[in-house]
Amino acid sequence: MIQLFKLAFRNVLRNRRRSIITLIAVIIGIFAYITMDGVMNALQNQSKLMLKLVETAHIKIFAKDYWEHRFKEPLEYTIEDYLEVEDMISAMQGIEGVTERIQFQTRIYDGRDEMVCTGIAIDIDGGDQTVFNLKDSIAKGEYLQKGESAIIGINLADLFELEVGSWLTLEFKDKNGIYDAAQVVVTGIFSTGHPDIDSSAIYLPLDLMQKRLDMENSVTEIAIRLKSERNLKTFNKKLDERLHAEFMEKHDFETLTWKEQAEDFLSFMEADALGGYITIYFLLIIVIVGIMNTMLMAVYERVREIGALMALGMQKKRVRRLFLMEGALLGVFGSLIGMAMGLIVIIILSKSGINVGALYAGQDVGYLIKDYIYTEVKIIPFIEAFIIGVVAAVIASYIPARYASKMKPAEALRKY
Amino acid sequence: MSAKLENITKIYKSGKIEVVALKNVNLEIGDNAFLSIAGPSGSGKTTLMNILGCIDDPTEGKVIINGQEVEKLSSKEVSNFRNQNLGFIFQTFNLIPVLTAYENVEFALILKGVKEHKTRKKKVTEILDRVGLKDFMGQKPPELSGGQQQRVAIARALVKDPKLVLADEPTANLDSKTAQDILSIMRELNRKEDVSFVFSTHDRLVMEYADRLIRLKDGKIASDEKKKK
Repeated sequence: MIQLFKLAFRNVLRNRRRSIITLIAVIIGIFAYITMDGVMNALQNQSKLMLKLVETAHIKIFAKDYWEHRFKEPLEYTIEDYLEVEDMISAMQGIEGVTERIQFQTRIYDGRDEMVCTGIAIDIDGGDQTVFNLKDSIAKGEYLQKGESAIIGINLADLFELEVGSWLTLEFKDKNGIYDAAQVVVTGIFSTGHPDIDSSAIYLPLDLMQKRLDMENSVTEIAIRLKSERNLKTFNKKLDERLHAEFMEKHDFETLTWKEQAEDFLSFMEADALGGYITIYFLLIIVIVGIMNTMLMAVYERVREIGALMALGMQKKRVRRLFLMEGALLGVFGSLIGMAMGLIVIIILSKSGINVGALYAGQDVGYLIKDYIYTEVKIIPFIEAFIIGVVAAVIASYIPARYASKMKPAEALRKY
Repeated sequence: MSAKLENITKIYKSGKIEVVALKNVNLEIGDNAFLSIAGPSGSGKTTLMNILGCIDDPTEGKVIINGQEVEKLSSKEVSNFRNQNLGFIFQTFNLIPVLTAYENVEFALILKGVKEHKTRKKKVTEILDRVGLKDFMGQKPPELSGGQQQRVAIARALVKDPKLVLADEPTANLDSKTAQDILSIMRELNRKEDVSFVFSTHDRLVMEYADRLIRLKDGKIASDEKKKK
């Protein structure tokens, strides 16, 4: 086997120019795989992080049936005495923060235009900041103030040509279904990178809206941030059991993890990633064809030599193995170089980042990215790339190797 | 080692054209043979050698080597048989260009299954010394002259102690002095170690060295001349 390996190795070095061209094809394929995987992962991870920090938290608790009716009648399904629930949650292990919110439909006017938006009433005394990072997303003006204030997304501000200090009129139905209106001043404009939030959400103080919506002791949701996401499912199950045990008589809750809340978004990301991987697989097919071509040329060139080896008593399977080894060697070296190049790029991008925001210039590309994404060095894509590179090379060599092993020694010796 | 060819016919097909390379050839080769097959180009010498060497199948007829009918052996068994018993010397050498002279010869032993490195080294060094290539063991075929390459090919064929060596025009690329030396080595092996040799040749010298001379013409044996040893 060692001798066969030595022979395969020297054969690879035999026609250096051709081997280098094939290696380049493998290197490009593996480099593209590593880099694309790194960028896709960075896009997805950053989007997931953003989603949790802006919209879903780790877990949200709703009144039963709220989730199903959240767009039509959100205020019909509310959590009463939410502070008791929050106290119970805060006492649980692994909690980073708990807060409450009210989400409702509202129509906003600025005197000329109107638009239906999502009103989100939040606890401005610090509770919201233990779970969400809205405060860090303020692009202009200030965070939400007490009283009749509001903060709006940058896209909504552009659409309505609103500035910090502009007045807005909100129209909404309270918990009892009675229409009401409120005038608020825009104290800040935020930019989260979440296209829906930035273009159609308006944040308001919770105490203000509890009064206006006639929801003094109730909210539509309780959001939880965990110290670690590792045991998310287990925690959610435990939480569900505790809620049912302690509040069964008064309430019926449903608890949803961020993954359950964002099913559609996660499906989109998966589909988008699949599209990216399909492109890479096409690239790999080109690599396979490249190696196959090289190996076929090597076989054609060495027909007499193969005949002589067989005449000397080399078995067909060893001839096949020799060519498979040559292909595998090209795959191994190409993959290692491609991986090294990919690693360098991933390390550079993990430090400098990619300014995706500037790249897409504010367009909604489906991902929740404000500006920079940062890649991460992970071992799995490298293992995958190596396996793909070597397996692709072996597959590509199989047909030429089989062709070589099927030759009859006498016919091979007669060639040329 | 004995070999027997019974009514061997070999037809090559090239598209719709059929070429009869051998026609009803009967040949018996006894132990310790030193036999030369002569004939003009296209007379069927190489085809006969290939069939004798079990690297080509006859279209019709039987090949019996040491009492064993070759057609009845599997491809693996034929490979093993060649590996253990036969040595080939090709007109165009067919050495592996990426291996040194030493490694080319050693490779034949590896294929034969000689696992011990020391044994291989001893045998390879001895045989290369015997063919006068002791000082060229580290050279690769492209760095050797035609004569030197042919000696490596001969060493490769002889190193595994074959019972029968099939040599296709072994002296075609050698000067007369080297040819004489090589033939002497083969003759010595034939006499002292009972190795049978079958040559296909145009070379008078080889024909003179042989104990038996078979002349082929148009795929048939035209004459079979046995000489006194």
